[in-house]
Amino acid sequence: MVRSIVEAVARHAQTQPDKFCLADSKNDVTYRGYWECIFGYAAHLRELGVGPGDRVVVKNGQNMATAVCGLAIQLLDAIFVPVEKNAADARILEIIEAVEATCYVAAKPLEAPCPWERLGDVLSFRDGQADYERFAFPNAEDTAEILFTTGTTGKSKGIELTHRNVTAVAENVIDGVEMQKDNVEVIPVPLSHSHGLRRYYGNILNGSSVILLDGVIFYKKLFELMDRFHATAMDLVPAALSALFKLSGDRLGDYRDQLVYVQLGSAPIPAHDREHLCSLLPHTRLYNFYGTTESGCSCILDFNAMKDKKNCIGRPTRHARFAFVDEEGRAIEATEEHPGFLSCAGDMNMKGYYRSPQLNAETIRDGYIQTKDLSYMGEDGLIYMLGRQDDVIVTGGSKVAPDEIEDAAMQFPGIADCGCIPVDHPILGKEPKLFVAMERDAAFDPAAIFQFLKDRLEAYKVPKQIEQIDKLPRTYNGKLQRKQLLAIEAEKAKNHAETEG
Amino acid sequence: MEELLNVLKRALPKVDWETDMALVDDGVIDSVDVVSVISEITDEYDIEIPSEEMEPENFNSVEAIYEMIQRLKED
Repeated sequence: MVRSIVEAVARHAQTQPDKFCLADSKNDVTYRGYWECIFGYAAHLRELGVGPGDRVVVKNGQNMATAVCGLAIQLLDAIFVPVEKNAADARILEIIEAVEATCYVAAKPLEAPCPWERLGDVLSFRDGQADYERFAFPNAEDTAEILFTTGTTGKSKGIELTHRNVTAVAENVIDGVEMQKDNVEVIPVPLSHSHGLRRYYGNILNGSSVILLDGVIFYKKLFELMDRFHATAMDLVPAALSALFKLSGDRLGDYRDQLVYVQLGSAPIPAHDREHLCSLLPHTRLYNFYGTTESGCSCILDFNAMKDKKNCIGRPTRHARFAFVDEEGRAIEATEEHPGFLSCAGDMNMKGYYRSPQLNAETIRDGYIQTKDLSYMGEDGLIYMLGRQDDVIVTGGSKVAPDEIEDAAMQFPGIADCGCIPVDHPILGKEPKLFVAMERDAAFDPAAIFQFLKDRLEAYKVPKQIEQIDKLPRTYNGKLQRKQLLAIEAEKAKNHAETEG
Repeated sequence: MEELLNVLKRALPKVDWETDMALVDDGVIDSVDVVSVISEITDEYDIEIPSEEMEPENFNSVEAIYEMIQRLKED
């Protein structure tokens, strides 16, 4: 039983040294080669003074160097702190200071209170004499990494994960997708975020193979690598899937007999993209993981096999245990009519928020991490989710999931994107309001959209207010930022009140 | 070319557009940066960049971007 991902690499380097391990757009290595890279860079970092418990901040290059760097840090029992590749200097400095970093690894230097190491040099330290005794592998309870959230408001939170947590999440992934040893997975999503990082860990723990790519924008390169290494799986975020469809048309369909599964996550997939993907890859398992950075990959759904399960997020994964609680945190019998807040326990749960004892006390109760996601377990044993408490719109006593309205609206010809929020209503309390962004040459016709939605949704779900907007606020991975829409609405209400006054 | 240089500097001020000749290959600009570049040049030159042109070599230097724009203007 290995206690860390880096220990798994060392083990695989002994048992399957010549097996293809990892590639990026320029390099590819076997497990033995990968271990030599990790070993060599760990030795270099140790010479620089990096040791157990030290924090090393790494700006993600979405390549083999970044992956090697992360595991070299962990081999020293130091802590890997990845930041996103497009992070502003101010954010990186904030993180460097928050963790009191020993070292900063990136493509370019930064005026920071710690030394800089060039990311481009990482692979040059590969050591062909790498052995298995010079480093003691980290203990399961030691901290492996700190992942900082990319919240749009307030200070970002550091999520501290031990090696036990990291390997448990990786096992959740392996179990969830029924990953085979000969799996070759393309990961064109950032290694600085839990989503991409955990799929990479899952494959490495399993002794499978990974192809790293910087997004899908150079899609020809993506397909070239898929052909060259005979990729059997893909990992995408919804925004990357949409971009791939726009760039390459239906080319993904050429891989219908090659792709065993595709994982999607990080944000809800627009219904039209989901349906299109199902039609292009009818025999491929199409997974959507539910989870958070705090409690990773806890529930999984194959939406190609369970198309009719509305609001379903699937079955709990290997290490996940679920409970449903009320506002006070008491366990309840949750049902569709009376859903509870989903709480999750298991080895994948984070050690805690970094240096935030109060926040930890508020978030973790008896080992369970409580979410704001209103959910219940169906009679089929699967978990169903109505949405985040903050997002669910209660209109006239009925609960409306904004995603359902958005999914329906996205089927209207000419709508490029949309988002739904609650607005005040004098009698109903709240009602849904829809913001839509139209495609370049499409006309905005709110009456036609209203009629379209009326034909598809129950009356109380149909938004009476439909407004055009240039662009919906979304995060890098396509997650709708409803708070920004609410802020736009609040600003308009304020201006309106001032004009009236 | 001078005009394009100004457009690119506006899109990504920190990039050394004048001397770097392997911007994508060397990881100086990433996929997110490429999207910013595309957004600026499609607005500025009123062109659409077809998916066939989405190759790293078309974004490796200011000269490569310039040549791509000229090619698309001619089409």
